[in-house]
Amino acid sequence: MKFITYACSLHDLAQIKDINHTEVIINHPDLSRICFHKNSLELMNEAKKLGLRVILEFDILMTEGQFDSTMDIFHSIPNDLYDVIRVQDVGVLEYILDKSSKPIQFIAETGNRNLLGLKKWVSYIGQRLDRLVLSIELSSKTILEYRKELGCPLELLCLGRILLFYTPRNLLSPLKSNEQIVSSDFIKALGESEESPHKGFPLVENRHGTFMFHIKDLFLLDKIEDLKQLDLDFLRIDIRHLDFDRYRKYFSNPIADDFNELKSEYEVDKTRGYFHINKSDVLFKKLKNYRIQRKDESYIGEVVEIVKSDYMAIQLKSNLDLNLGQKLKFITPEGKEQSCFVHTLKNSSYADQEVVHKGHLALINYFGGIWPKSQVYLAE
Amino acid sequence: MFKVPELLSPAGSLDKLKVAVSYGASAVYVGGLKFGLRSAADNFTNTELAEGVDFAHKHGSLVYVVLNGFLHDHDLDELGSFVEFIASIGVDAVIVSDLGVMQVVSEYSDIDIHLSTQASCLNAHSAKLWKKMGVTRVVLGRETSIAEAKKIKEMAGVEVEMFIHGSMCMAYSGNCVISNFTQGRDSNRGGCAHSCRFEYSIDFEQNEIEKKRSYFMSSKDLNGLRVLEEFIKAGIDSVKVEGRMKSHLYAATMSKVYSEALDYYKKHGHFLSDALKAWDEELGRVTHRTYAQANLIDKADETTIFNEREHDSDNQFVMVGRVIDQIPNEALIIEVRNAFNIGDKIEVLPFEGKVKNVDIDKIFQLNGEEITRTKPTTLVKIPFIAGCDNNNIVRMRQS
Repeated sequence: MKFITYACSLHDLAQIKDINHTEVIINHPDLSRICFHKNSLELMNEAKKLGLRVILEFDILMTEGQFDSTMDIFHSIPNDLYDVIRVQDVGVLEYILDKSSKPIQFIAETGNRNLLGLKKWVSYIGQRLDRLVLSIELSSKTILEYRKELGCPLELLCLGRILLFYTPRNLLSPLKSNEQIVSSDFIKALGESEESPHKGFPLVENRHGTFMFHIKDLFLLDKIEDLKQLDLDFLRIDIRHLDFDRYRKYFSNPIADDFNELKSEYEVDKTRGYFHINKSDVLFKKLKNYRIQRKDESYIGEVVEIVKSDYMAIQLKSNLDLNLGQKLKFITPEGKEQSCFVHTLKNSSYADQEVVHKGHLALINYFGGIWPKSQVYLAE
Repeated sequence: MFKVPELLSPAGSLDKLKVAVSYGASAVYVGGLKFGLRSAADNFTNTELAEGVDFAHKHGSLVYVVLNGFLHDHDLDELGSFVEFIASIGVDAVIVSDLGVMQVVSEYSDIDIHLSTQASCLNAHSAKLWKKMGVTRVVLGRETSIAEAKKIKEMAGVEVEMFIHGSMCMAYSGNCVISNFTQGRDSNRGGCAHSCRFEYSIDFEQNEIEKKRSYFMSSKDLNGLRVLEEFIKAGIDSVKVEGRMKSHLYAATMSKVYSEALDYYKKHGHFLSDALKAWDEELGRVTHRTYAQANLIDKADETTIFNEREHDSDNQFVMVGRVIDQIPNEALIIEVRNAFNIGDKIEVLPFEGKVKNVDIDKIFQLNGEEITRTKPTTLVKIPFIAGCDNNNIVRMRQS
């Protein structure tokens, strides 16, 4: 298990070499979502001189109209300046598989939350797959299972910004006056909403669009023993928003280092995200009223009107007719169950009937405690 | 006859499916109780799905089931049997964003697989890859233009579907996890909390005295009616309306307007018609944010940001109810959603043709008792109007 991180300057490269990293991720302003430098080729060249394996991060998403020109930029980068290409857009993946012989690191951080899908990516990319970058929404238990099943090197972000939102639209520059905008610049800001308890979302706008990050950085290094158990090949450090020099001493060897000091020194609030457990679907049950959902084959229909002391109108929604004398069970929107017999049965013309056929309105005797939207079933 | 795209309408419930199909949708997309992105929608039980497919097919429409969540391993456990079920009832395609889900669908059925917009398929190489994975149609990301879609279709040799109308994600679809990390709700499994619609205070860290307050992440709604001809000329296979969570009135209006427009083009090969203005006005009569064409022609710029609080006070029309039964030559039975009174002018939206304007002079309860005003969640009878059908939507101009 090794650390890997980004170099944003020649100084960073020297530091990375100094802490014995063997690889480095280098961004390119036209190919990478976030890039803090303009001298990518110089950085790659220097990294190669230092004997580092260079990973070119090509992680932007792009529409067809941008594709060819972006690929022209990609091809303008001398082949010998980088060793591996890291991609997320599957169109870029497909292109690189066809047009380049370089090894590929596939960013599976968006979606890709099941083993079946990940295995398919592994098999599709085949021998060209150098590494799979896993989603931080996978729990440690899940990653452990995947480690056993995926026969390729795996990487996980263990310290850094959590990207929440990525749009190609420019959302910050419209808020600034023209004289404040320099087109090639990053625009940075912090956002907060009264409708959210979280304050100070980092925002960035650049040539690729607008990005929003979590107010807290992902910090898993205090769980280094758990990370060791996962037997991951690489732990990614992404502190491009901070001073790398300040923290670099902690990132030489994940096996040997103690991160308690880093934890106390780290200047941004921290979260472990979903590393312990992912229960991001448990609240769904509260999003709707399951009691008003039809449930079984004895379903008759739905109460659509109550006229107190007179009748209840039932829209017959299933394939069953309603007969005089039948016993019905009602489940109210509040979940209360009521039963009653059909003593009187009328059609929508308010004429007495022995039976009302499916698809029509049936008016039956009023019964207290039942409300519109109550679901109606034949009682046993 | 000129070839036109399929009109794919949203159907958040069985009732809405019947409305959308009756008003002209050539296909509808629906969600089962699991596996989709609209956990709060009514969605369909298996019985309702079977009934919905039966209804749609009898009316010549297709049904697609959304399975477009980024599903976790445990979510897949029940997927196989569900896929077998929807195959058995004749569902025409599934809409999928995840490779694991595609594997399950392929293992358990021969149903066509459409790639969800959640997968952010934006270019021809991406479409080529998904085609290799077994996809027969790609629903392109809403960042692509019609011209780009044409090229993608030609280069990848796959059917192409594009959104033509409705709410827009500001983020690349599938690339927003704000809800996941701020509310503990997985936006890509149906828990989106719509944080992009919040008002934010923006601090540019430049010692500006005042922070900027803005709905800076909220997008205007898409409206592609005025460029429908571009879709047709580009050979787009399906135009899709967003909005499974939206009202019956919305489902009806969208299906009616776009199907009438497509039918017109099919017959005439152009849109040189006064009807275009009328269709446009109809689209303005449902709840919507300010309309824009987003990326359909040019790249969405700052004018596509909906920098306003969400509100519906300026809706021109409100749905007052739905025709649920008829007593021939005597009465229409209306399921009342919003109250109307004697003296009100209501409009019945027929499945085809012009709106029927009706002055309400009598209202009855089903027991025959005459009343002067209605209440929501009641049934009332109004005098019979020839040419109306069950599931016709009744609306009224807001005072």
